Amino acid sequence: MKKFSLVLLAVFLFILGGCSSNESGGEANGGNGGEKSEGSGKIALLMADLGNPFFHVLSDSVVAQGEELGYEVLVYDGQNDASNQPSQVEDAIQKGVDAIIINPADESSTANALKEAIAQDIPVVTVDRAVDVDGVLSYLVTDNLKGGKLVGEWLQEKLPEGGKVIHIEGVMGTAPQRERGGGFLSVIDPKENPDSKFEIIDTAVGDFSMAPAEAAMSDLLAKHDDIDVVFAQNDTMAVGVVRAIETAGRQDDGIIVIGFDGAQEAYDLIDEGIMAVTAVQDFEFIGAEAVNYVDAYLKDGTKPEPEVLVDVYMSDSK
Amino acid sequence: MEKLGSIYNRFGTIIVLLALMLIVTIINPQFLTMYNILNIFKQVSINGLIALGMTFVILTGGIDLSVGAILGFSGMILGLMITGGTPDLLAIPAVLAIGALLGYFNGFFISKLKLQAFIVTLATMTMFNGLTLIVSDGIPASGVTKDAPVLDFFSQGSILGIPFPMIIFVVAFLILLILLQNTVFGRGVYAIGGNEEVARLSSIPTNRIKTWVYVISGMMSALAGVVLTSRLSSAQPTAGAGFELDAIAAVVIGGTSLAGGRGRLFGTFIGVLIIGVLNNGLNIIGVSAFFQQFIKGLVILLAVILDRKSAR
Amino acid sequence: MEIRMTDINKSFGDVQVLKNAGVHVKEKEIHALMGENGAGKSTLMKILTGVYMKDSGKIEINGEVQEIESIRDGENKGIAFIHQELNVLNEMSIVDNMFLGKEIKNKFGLVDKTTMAKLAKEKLLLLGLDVDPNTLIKDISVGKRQLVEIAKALLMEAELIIMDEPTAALTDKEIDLLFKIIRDLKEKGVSFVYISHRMEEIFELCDEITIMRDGEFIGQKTIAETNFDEIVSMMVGYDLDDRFPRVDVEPGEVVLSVKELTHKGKFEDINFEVREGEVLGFSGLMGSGRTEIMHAIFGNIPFDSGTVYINQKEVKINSPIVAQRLGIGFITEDRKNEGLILSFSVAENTVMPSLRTFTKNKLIQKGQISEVVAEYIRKLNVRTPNQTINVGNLSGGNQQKVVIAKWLITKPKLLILDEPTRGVDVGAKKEIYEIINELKKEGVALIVVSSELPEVLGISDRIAVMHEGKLKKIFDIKEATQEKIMEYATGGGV
Repeated sequence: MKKFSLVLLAVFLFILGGCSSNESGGEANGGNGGEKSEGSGKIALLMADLGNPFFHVLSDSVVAQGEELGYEVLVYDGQNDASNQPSQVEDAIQKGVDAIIINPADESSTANALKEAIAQDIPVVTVDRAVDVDGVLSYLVTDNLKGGKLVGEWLQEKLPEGGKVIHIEGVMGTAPQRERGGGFLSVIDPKENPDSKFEIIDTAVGDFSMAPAEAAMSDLLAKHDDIDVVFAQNDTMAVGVVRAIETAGRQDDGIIVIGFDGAQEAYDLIDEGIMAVTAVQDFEFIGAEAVNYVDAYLKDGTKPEPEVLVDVYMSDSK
Repeated sequence: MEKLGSIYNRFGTIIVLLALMLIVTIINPQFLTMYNILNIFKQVSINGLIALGMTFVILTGGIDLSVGAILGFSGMILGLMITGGTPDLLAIPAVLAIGALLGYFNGFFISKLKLQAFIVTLATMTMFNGLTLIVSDGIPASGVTKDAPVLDFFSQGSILGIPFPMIIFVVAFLILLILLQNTVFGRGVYAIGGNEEVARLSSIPTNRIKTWVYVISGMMSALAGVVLTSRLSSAQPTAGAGFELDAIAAVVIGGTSLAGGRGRLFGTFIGVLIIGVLNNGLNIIGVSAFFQQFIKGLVILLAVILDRKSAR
Repeated sequence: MEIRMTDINKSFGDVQVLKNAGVHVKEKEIHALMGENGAGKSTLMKILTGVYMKDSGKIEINGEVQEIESIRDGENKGIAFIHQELNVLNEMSIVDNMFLGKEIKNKFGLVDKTTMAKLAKEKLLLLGLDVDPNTLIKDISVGKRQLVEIAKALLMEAELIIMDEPTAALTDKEIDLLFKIIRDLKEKGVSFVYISHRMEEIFELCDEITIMRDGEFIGQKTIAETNFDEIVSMMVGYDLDDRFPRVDVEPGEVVLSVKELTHKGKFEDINFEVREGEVLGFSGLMGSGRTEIMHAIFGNIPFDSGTVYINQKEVKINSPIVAQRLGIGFITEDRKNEGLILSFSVAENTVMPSLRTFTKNKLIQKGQISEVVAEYIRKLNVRTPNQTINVGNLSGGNQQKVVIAKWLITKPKLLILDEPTRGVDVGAKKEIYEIINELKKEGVALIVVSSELPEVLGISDRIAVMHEGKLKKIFDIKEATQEKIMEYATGGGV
């Protein structure tokens, strides 16, 4: 048994070695122990969850803009677990990065770790979600509330006579769920906007992911014979909704499916004509802009606005 | 009174299921349409397949937290293989084999190295989730069923009007039922959960059986992954997250003891339907999203309390 | 403290376990309580310590009628019970064990460790035990753990200490020390109830003896006025001779032979053989390595060196599966943890090792199973309402018969029985001996491990005696006596 453990350990170390050598190209200059090294030009990008394909747009944009401006970008994946990120921040500080761009998994976990970075005068830009700490250079976020309203207004224009609406929500209690839904309902829900000719016939939870959204939509298709519109709070759920409609054989009912984010999958379905539109979060802009802020600050100390709300736009083609 | 108790013992979970269906139907008769019942069966087949495999594991006194991760990984591999041009007829068995292999990996550590199932599968859950991200680069494979008629049949097909996923679930149930009740292997599963030392000293191959229950669990999870991928026509890198909890809940509602040795596969079958009806019913009734989780938890708790009462 | 229990009755469900039982312990007295397993000794003592409530009867403490309503109540009245399976937590320290549930708190409501350690040390020294009270229980010997229990009893100022088989796991030296302490405490005014099967100890240590049988008070004797045979016949209700019906069978071929079997630290250089139709008894003190040898032969624990031959052929038995295939059956010592799944039915338990033989096309034939189980229930006279009742609901003797049935169905050529009559009542014991004789006649080779000397002498053809991991001597039954066996078992004899 002992022998086996040793073999196992050896295999483990080998794998570990293999993994890290894949990355080593990116961090040849890793070991200068926390000293801020002028001119090495390194930015740490901490993503909350690269398992969500849509966030790749954001990380790709940061990497591209970073390289454009001559920075090396170290990408960390928090794997949708808030507890991973603090140590990743510490690791980045340890590696002597010049700036940190973080897409936090929640509002508090990384606060202490980022305080440390700010104390060392490392500029920190948070994207898509704020962190509860003072001294952040800037906070760039999609204006979800405005985005929700925009969806509502688009719909009013599309169906001036109104219609029956199903609302598929994301993870309950999260900021995007509250704001996108809030904005949308403020225009469409007759309870909030007496001028609205629409009727919210049902609301279901899809947790921002495909399988639950698809299941919920299947249930609602069994319940309602007459549906005009489905608004899903992100594109992944919208894709699930479309799939449920297809499975139920009701793709010819003319149900208008609206998503949010601007994900590739959504564009594919829009091209096929089975999804109507998506509200695009401009992650490409956000990513590039975050790098620009950092770059400007490092070069001449220019400080951007502490909070920047980025507009959403409706799109039916890429 | 004692008689009533034993009736409840036999049919307790069915009573809960029927009561649940009755309540939902009273509130919204739309629930009891043939369309919706088939809809429920199609939906529960995924959790059902996982829960059937999980029952074997739990009966031995183990637990498999990695089922959702195995589902996600095998679904992703399936998606990548098919979008990469592999015929679905080939890709599906390959993916089932992968599920079995990952299950064997769990079983090896648990039986041969005598590690705790909870820890091992917690670790492998994270590992398999990681593998999914590595192979997919975090990007979903979409349009998977477009040129894959066999895979498409797994969710969209039907035989004599019965949806194919429902057929898979029922057939898997029947096969596993025979395996559990009528073979030496199945009785060994119970014996290990009852008292592993006694089983071993009764010349039952405990290590082999323990390994195999995880293989079964892994393979059933992969099969569920095939059905889900077919259903969504898309392989999501985060698919399967949290599925282990619904599966464990179904097994426990079905009266299987988490300590092992006691429980029935039929109970799991009903437990799966209870969870399915609950999910569907809450949507059909139109219960507010905030209440849904609370009610779901409450029903699970009630079912388990009733089951423990009747076991006395 | 003087205790008088009279006309105590107690039933569990339909079974009356105590019928007008009683005991009278005087002040400054070591009082032996004897009886077969299941005679009701433990139940009676559990009533005295508040574990069980009596159905009827009277308990007088120092001449006053008292009710003992809970364990705590018993303790407050000065009665302590030291169980055979010591009630200590191995991962905790001595002092934490001694004060478990009775921790001393300081004025802040926190546990006062210093005071506790001081008091603990005091009591331990009183018993001649000079150890750091913060030592973990798992790091001290079983003998010392026993003393910790006594110290714990002293701590709560017990005036009556009940000890159940205190010497079962002790070495001779530790036993001597324990006896000295018991006598010292007696001089200081503590009374003892001493439960043991070891007759020699009773005669050495005790003043009075009460004998129980089948839940009843049979008699009380002063040690000086009684003798061994009288006590035994009071205990069993008839003369020893009837207990072991012997049959003579001409032994056949050698079935098992073991050469130089060694497992460092457990047993060393073990050589013996068993023939068809022969019973080889294994005697020796607890912990002398008997059970370990049997587990090694059965492939349940590995051994370092040596060879095992079945029917003259060398075999490698590395798991119970192989052992069964070679025709070995093993009735383990620990029925509840190794022999039966108590929550499973009689039938399920009975066919566990032989299930494979009841299949057709890989499917289990349930009808066939119930037929065979019924046959063995009848054959072994297992008293059970049906096959589907949980085996845990049966009495010890009937449980043991199920374990035996379990292995008989596999048709073994070698059957190992480790303490086959432990926790079994007198009647069932005799039935088990008869089963052993029956198997002997059928030509099965048998090994019987037993701590009860009369039993070993009564049923064996030859007797192997173990001492500290070594096989000291194999007696032919004609030359074996209790004294000779004890001599070798305790390390004497050459």
